[in-house]
Amino acid sequence: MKKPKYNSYPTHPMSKPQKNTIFSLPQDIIFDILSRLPTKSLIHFRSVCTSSPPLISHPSFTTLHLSATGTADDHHILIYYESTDYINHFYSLRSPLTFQETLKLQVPYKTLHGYLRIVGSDKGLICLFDTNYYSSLGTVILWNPSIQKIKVVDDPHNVHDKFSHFVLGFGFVLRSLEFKVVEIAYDLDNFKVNNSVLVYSLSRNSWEKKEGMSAPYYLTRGWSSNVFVNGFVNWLAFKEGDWGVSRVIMAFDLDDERFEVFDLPKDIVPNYDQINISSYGEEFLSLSLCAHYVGINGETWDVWVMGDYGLVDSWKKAFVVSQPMYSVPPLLMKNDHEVLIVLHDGKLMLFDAIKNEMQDLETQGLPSTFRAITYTASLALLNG
Amino acid sequence: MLKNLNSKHIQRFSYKYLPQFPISPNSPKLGFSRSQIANYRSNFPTTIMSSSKTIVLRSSDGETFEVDEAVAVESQTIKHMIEDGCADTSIPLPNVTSKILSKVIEYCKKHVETPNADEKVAEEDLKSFDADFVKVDQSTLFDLILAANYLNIKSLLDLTCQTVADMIKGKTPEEIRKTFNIKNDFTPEEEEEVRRENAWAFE
Repeated sequence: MKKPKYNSYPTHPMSKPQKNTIFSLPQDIIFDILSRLPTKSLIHFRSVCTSSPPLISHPSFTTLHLSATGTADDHHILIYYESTDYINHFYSLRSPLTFQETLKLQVPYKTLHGYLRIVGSDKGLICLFDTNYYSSLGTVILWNPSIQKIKVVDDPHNVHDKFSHFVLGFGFVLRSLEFKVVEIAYDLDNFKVNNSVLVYSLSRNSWEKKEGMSAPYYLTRGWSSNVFVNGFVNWLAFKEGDWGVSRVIMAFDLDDERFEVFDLPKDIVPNYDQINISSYGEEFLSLSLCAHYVGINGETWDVWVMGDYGLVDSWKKAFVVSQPMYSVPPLLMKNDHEVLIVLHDGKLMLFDAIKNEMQDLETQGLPSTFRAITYTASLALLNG
Repeated sequence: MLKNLNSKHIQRFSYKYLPQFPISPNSPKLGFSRSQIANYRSNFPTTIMSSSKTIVLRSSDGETFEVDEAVAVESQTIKHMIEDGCADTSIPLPNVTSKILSKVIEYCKKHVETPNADEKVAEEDLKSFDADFVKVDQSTLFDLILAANYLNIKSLLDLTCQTVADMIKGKTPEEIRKTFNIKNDFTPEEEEEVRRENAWAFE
């Protein structure tokens, strides 16, 4: 396949900027105008004429584009679920206001190990982990559904190394404009104590083993979800103590590449049978904790929110959801009274705690497979 | 003593006491604010007293425009020229035609005159002025962008760039070409290549 000329020359050798058009404006001004456009419009603009692609691919524009927060049109929610017969996997793109489906995405990649797990999403990229049931091996994939580009990340491990399981996190570091993946590789031998930490950077396209660093606490075999909030990848980890095992929030700062630990709310009722973390708020900037209780009156989910990220004293109980559910944690807290939940029968609902009403979102699947993440479109991976 | 002072004296007197050093946006404000001057002037007929100077701007086609200094310094470029002492007779603007310069002056006047942009009514009024201001043909719009850039008038550059962005937003490539009268100069193979690269899953 012949590589198109316009990608490698600053301007297409056959054309000069067409006179008296937008292309005859100074480059900085064109970038200013383009930075106000949603990703979809940028993609359309790229197909206008031969002067377009070099502008969109220009490193100065890429920097501007990635540094911005994204226009309103770029914000979506991605809901992943599987059909009840385990056969179909759906990546359903939704409006963040109504949760109505706008599009079904297709991953241009076939799983090698059995399961494509969603690690996370930030700044236009979705990180997937092609793994098996126990997450004892895997390949990291970076996917931009806006331009249907996939990057398969090289495996950092020797083919002979065996691990108990892997735990992953993903995010975009604004300060250095880098996409990073963090991987905790738990040793086959006593994984509760031994692990190693590796960080991948897309701009470097390489993994770096963090020498002398290990994750302070452990997560069990199988797939562990994470929540990316405030530049930290957050997991709900297990802590072995004198009084048995307790839960704690283990967070990894993707910028400084170091671990932090946060306790659960002091006043949390301890006899929960399930506990889960999720993101919270209209902009999904806060961390929330959901604890499930089964009592005489039925089951309830207590939803806590960490008002100031990092301050354990700022945990506040936001609300309680007491609808009969198949013990599936609430997927996403839209705001302080609306939450995305999945019922017994696999139906997706938006529950309003103030009105005590449920809105049927006309989506049905296997309850335990549902996942909801925010997706903000961008042109990441456009230039490879 | 006041009786012997005429407006010429007052003008020169006040000019002498304008801050001579460069003023940064963060330095403490010296002298009167634009709204204070406007307010003060509105209470006194200008024939008796004028506490602001006028600046003469000369367009590329030789036309001159006399504007209040308060209006002229909406342009950071002109502001720096005045501070550097280059504004004694007139300021030449070789990159701006009279047609565009008169529009730019109209914009700056309106934005300086609006007494309190925090008030709802004034804000709405300014918004509708801005909306009408950019209802011009494309050629004029691009000239306004270039003028705002050269004269360094941030709010005008913002307004005009946003206008162009709004003209692109939501359009397909063919619609964008039509709007801006751009020729599709891709070869059929290149066009196919781009379309494949831009396989937009969100369509």
